[in-house]
Amino acid sequence: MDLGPALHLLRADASALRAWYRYRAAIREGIGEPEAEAYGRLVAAVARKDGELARIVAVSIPDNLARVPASRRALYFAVLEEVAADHPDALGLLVRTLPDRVDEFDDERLRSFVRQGLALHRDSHQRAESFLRRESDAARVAVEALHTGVALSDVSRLLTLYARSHCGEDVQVRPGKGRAFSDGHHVYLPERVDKFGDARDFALLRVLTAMGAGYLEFGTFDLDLAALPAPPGGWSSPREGESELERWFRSFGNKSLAREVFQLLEDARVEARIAEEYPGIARDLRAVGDVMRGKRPEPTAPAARAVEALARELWHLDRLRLDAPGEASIAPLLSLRSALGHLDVNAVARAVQDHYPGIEALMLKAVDGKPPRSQGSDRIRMPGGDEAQPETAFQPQELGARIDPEAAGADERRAESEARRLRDAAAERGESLTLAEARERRREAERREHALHDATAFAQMEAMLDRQELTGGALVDPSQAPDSGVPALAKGLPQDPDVAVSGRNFIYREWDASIGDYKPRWVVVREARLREGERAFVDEVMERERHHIDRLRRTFEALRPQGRVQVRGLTDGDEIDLDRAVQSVVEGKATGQRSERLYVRNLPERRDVAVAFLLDMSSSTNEATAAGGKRRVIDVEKEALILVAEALHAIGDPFGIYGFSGYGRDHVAFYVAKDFRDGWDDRARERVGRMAFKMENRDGAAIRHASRKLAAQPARSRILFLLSDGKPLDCGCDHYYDRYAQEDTRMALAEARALGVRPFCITVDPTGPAYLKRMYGDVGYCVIDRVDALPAQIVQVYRRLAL
Amino acid sequence: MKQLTPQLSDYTVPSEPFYRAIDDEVELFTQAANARLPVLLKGPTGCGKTRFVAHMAWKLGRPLVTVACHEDLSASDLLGRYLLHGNETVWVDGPLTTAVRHGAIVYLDEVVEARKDTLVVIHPLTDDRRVLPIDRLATVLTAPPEFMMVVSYNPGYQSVLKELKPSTRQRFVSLEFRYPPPDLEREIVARESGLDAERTGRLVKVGEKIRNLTDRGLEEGVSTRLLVYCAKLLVHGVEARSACRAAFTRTLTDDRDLGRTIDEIVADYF
Repeated sequence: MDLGPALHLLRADASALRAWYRYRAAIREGIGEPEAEAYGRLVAAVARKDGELARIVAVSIPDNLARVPASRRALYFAVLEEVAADHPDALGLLVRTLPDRVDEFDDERLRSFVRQGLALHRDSHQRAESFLRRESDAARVAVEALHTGVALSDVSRLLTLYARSHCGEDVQVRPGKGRAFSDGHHVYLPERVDKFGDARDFALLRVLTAMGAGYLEFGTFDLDLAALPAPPGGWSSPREGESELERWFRSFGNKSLAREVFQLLEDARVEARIAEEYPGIARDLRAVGDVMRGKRPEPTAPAARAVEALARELWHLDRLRLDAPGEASIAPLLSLRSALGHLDVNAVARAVQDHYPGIEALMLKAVDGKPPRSQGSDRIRMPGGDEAQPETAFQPQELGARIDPEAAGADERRAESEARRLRDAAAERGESLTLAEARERRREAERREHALHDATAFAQMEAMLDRQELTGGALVDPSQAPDSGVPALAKGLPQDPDVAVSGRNFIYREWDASIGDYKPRWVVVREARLREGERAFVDEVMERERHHIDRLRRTFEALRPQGRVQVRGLTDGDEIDLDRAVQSVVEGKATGQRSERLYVRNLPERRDVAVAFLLDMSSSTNEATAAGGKRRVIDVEKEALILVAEALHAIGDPFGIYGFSGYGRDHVAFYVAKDFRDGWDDRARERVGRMAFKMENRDGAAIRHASRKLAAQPARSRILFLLSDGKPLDCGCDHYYDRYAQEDTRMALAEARALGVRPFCITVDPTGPAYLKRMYGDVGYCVIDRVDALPAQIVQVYRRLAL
Repeated sequence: MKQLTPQLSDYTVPSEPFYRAIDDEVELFTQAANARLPVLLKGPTGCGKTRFVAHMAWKLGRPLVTVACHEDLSASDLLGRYLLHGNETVWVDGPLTTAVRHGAIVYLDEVVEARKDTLVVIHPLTDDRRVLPIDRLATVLTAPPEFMMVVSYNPGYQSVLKELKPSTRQRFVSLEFRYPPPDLEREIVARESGLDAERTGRLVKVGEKIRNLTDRGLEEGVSTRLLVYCAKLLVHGVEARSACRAAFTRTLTDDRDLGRTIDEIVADYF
């Protein structure tokens, strides 16, 4: 440890040293080593200037840090360090106010906002504070000014759908770190477009999306080397995961040059096709084209100059003068210009192949005939000639869409290789299959496999449910009223950054199998409401699984009870109600007045169900799922929750979503993502997004609390889903494990049933241990080895229990 | 006891409904009618199933009784029921009974929406017995040769669980409908709405692009019927974008992003 800061602190204030020492350890434990480092650095830096301030900062940071989302903590410290250097007197204010701001801006804008706040600080501490809290009018104006243009995150779903409507494939829009390009599966776009400050900013994004989707729509990625004249010696064999485009680029002496020339012509072709197909985009392209092309460079190297001249010609910009050999090198390509809209990608590739040598010759001449790739790359600035950064070396300001098959992820690369293998295998059988057809065939096979897997999971689930007895069971006296106002027993835990409001505390008893009795008032359950503002996870799931959600919703809609209830006394119906008919005749004879309500109608029975989901948020859920390998148990569980919640919301059944974790008997944390009274809106979705793995799981207490919440619901049947990864375990005390924990869980479930709640446990424990049968007793449960099937399985259980 | 059967004239198709064949469906339907086979029409909403049945009824010169199925539809809604009129009890035929008595084509639209126990009443009519037992009248009606059962369903938005029972399904010969190919769809939209060829062309392209979103956000693509509606709005002088918003965007989705996407697709063409 660096003792420098400690000395400064000691000299300034001994209590500051103690605070620093203690909190540094707490931050390391509770949050992480890098944060602890940054904390130490910051306090030390302040201590060199002002001991008293150092003490205040040392004490106040930990709580505030806990409010900063993990991804923004580094930025939080970075900004504080800058402030400490220049405006130490405002540091205390920033420590407090910054946590609420870090999520609202990107790095640069946050700094700009802070600068404006600090400028106010010179005049009035008060004004600066309300500015930084975003309470003042000045702050509102500043924030609006900082947020100009269009943020991709606001429109990415819209643009994804838009791209799909154009090309009819499941492309996805993703942030492209300032650039726009496509790899054939995704359309990457700049995170923010702020070039015009009006509607044209969006138009620019839209044009870029149309271009990115246009590569797919008009077949750029369908390049087929078999349709091109092979170079002497034939095409080199494809590398694993390599796209046909990459493989083709590789056949050129200078890959980057070939790529640039092809890109220009192919862009012009796709643009021509787009303009022809979509008159509206042609209009937008005229409005934003100049900005999209960026400021044009004036290269001097002959080949680069020729390529630039080609670009300007194709884009109808001011011409770039070339010498005679330069003109000659691009002339044959330019002659294609008017016909581009009628060509396919193979024809463009062929033209590039035919006329590339002319442009390459310009370059070779410039380096005295030496091959450019051996040593010439630092002497000439080729377009994209720098192999390490082929994109940025050429026109860094350019926003135009580009083709970049190398950006595809591992899955897509694998898919591409498989498609190629499929095609080659077909060729061996004497069947002719284009690469595009092979891709489609491969996707089809994948879909079939998934469907098969789902079907098997469903069948197993059905069989399991048939074996389970879901009714009856021992009764336990539930006379244990929740208590409130318990003093906080546990301290020393770092405040949970995912928690917005800590709510009431509740005390529950616990079953001790060793004494065969309850321990009264034993466990404190602390209810806490999760924070909002975690959109990424939910958005991603909602987008990816939209189709799935729709299907699930319809499945739930179909889960209507098939029974019927008779409604009597109607003026129209299936049958005549004889009793009433007789009565009506009698009344008619006696009084002259008779009832018309003589019919009976058989109406379908309605459902009356309330559901609570209780999610195990212990640290073991951070592990990867057994089957998939890549995704964490908790993420899959959350995803399943979101899917099912969307469906439940659509059919209007009341439901709650809760999570639990904690440490020790006086600190069972019960997280509320959605209470029964909350609507299922974006805020609730964000709170589900916040659910993350925490510490231990003391299942018994959490089940007791959840079942009480559920029991308060006015529904005919109440279902509690416990999603866990297996063993209840709380290392925060010396005995909550193995048999003790299992017996307590079993009793808690039995208590739940006594309260009129039907629990069902879904356990993701691939080892399938024997204790489950004992622990869950006669409560329904199932062990699944493939969490991805979770939503489907919840539907199955729901069907059995809810009706 | 009195029995009421609705008049035959209520169910005749007076003039030829416009229908443009996409495939061999007219021929198949005609032969199925000759062979007295029940027919199942599959296809997305608004692709012309109902129009096709009306057209065929006209062509075959048979009355057409249409029943829109829903989940509260009961067997007595189809067969008929007793009603009390003053001191009299009257039996009123339901649409199915009416169709059997008149030798009409009965068309059960969106048949999956009906509950499975309701559908069982059509079973004896759809095999070689061609009879309709009516318990409450204690009679069994035998269907005349002209009687024909036609049902439709939309496989797109029905879930795994909401399917026709195989025992019901296997009583029909099936015709599959889809949205017409662009050339035909242009012709249909132009003919139905009277819109000029140029704007019809653009409208049909908008439809194609929106259909690309089916299963990628939209539950079902835009139907030919909606294209016709939109074209009619255009003919009546509504500005293109607001016509499309009324006919497509607001009709197809409540999802804001999806709605804007459709607006942008419209802006690609208008």
